[in-house]
Amino acid sequence: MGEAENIHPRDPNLVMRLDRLGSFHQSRLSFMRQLLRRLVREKWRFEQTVFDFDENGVGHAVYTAHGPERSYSLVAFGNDLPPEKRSDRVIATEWDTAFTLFDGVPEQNDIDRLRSNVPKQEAGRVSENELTLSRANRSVRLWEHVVERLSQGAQPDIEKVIDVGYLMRTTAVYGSGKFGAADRAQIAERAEFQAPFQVEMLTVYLIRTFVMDLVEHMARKRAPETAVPLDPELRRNFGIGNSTGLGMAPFLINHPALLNAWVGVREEALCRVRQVVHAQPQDITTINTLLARAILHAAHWHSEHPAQISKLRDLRADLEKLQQHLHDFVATGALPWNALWLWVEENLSLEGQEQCASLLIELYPELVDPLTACMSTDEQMTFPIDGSMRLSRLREIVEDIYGWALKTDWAQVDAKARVWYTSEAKLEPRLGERFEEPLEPYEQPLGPGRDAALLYQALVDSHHHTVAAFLLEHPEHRHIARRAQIAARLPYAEIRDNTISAEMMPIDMLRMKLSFFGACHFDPRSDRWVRINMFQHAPFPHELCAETSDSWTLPPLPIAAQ
Amino acid sequence: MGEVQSLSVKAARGAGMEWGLAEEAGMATRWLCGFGLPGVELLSDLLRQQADAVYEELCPQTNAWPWYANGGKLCPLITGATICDRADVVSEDEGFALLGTACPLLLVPFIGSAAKLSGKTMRVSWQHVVVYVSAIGVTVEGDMDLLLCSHTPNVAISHATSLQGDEQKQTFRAEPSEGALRGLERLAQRTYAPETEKSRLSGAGAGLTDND
Repeated sequence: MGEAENIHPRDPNLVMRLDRLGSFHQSRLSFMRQLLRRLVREKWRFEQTVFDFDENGVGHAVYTAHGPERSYSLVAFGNDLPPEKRSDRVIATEWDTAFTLFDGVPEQNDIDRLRSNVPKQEAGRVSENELTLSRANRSVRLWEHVVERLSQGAQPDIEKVIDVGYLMRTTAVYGSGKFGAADRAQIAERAEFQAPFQVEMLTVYLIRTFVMDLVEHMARKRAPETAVPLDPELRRNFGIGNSTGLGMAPFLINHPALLNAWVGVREEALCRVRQVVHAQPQDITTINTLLARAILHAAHWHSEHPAQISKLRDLRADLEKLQQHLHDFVATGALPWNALWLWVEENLSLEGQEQCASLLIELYPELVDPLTACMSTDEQMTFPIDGSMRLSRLREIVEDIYGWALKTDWAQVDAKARVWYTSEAKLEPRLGERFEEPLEPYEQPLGPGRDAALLYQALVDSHHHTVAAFLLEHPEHRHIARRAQIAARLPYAEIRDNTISAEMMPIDMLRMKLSFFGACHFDPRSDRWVRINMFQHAPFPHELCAETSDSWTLPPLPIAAQ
Repeated sequence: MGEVQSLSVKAARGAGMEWGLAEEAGMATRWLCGFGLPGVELLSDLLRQQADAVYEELCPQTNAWPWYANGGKLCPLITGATICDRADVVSEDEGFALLGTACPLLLVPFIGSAAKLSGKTMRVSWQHVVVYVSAIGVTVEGDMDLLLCSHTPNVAISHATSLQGDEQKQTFRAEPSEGALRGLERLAQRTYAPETEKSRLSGAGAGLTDND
């Protein structure tokens, strides 16, 4: 069992593998959870200042969130979208709804300007008064069913609701200076935006609020005499879906310092829980309740993708096993959570292990929550190369971080079958087949493993002693040399796996990032496209309070089971 | 500002630079824009000047001072990155010199990075202009028109005791000229793969079943 000092954050060679990253679950460290805790702690106030829509859903709305120092407004535009134009792809040109998060409270001239630009999305332009740009499409499956039922004075079918989980899904949420919006630096000093992606999370939270108001409005328009609103408990079963494609995968590779910050914090959190010397009886009760809710969550999680179906089978089996183990679990000894963790590593699949990691992190907010302050970082700080480093040291680093790549036979077609590129059409990130399409000239630097193998060979052959001299002669290795130096200082900065192989599934990278957002119910539609649910079960703005603001992600247990 | 950096990286790559150096171009351009200096204009000018040159003609020969390029015009990005890689060079008290250099203002972000790392104040001068840079800011003394200088026969880099001249205020929004922006966009365009039916359908994955 060992002393607490012998418990360390997990080895990056274990954690930073694609199949494990692709098994991450949301946790209390996620950006969505951080947002809601702040909204309650600081007593944010929400108001719907404009809501003007016709029976076709055409019109606009303004929702304002008032924080202790500043206010932010979601400006929403509705469209009567012909069904054949509805598409989740970046190359779509029209959507059911379009949104922007305005920095403050918009005046009429702002709304007029936004009406001319926001529905066009990438084809329009916004200003530094706008923080995000977003759009959402209806779930055709569920929207009509809900409007019809509510208009008849009835509630929608709970099975159908749970099956889909959302009425609309966003297909992009752009922040950080895209298309003219405010640069991240402009808002980085604001306390409410210190944590990562808070503008995006606030935007989606308000979009969810708006969508639920809109569906009730459409029902009233259809049948004003008989329409009813959604039952509050049922209403919370609707999250906002999101359709995520490849763009997130390059993001992870292009932000090594950020990746290290997120994963590093999670690993430190798990480590701290494992180091807890004694568990209290209420901690045992808590973990059992959480596990029961996780089992319910897994039961509601659907997908048609073969890989996900297999993972769900593993997850459900793992959670049953874990529940059985906890039944007999004696937590009176020292370091009980470490004992549990060691059993988990030995007996559960990756899905079960990572779900359990998230559950353990829930147990001690006071140990774990302060770590969230370390999840933001300035990528620019890790940019400079240390040219004085000896070549021998750089070789050691490559052997450590990219050992797996040095063992890969890069001459094999399968090892480098894929090529990451950006298409001319709307600058959409794509993944192509290197040997089937003429894409190599356009290859993006997203295969650090292969680059490291090439670097290593050049280092072995070089007569130089310092990295500076080496890079002057070999500018082609500058990119990977920088990455290697970053990964030597930041242990979780590099994905230690082949990102260009024939078997690589981008959804593993997408899931990793989305789990940090706080997303759930990952539903891959292919190896590179995934549907998720955000804020499902979260309290709505008018329901926010200390009791509800943090315990919502896993579904509540039926009353009898509590 | 993020958009400017991203565009600059792609433009430099489109112009033929290796990714590692293109990233330096992005960093340098953003750095200059962040101080209200004409980064986009200079990068556009530089990439145009270097259109047909190869690396060996543009990189510094570093056996002795002053550094020079075999082709007669040092690339400030390669030279700046090389200076930055050699922290020992920056801590030289005597200062150092470069011969023919294109767009010398593009050296300053690298000197700035080295200044930040070493905690020293540096001065970079060519003809009748001097740029001072330290961890806390940038100042300019002399002929401001020379900031847009395309090519200069000599550059002197040394330590300074303090920042002198007019302060360059930091800004969050770049205001590049249309012409320079178009120039970079044209080069960036070379890094995008042309659309084909096959890549449109299979490349991003959503295909025909994404709408339900």
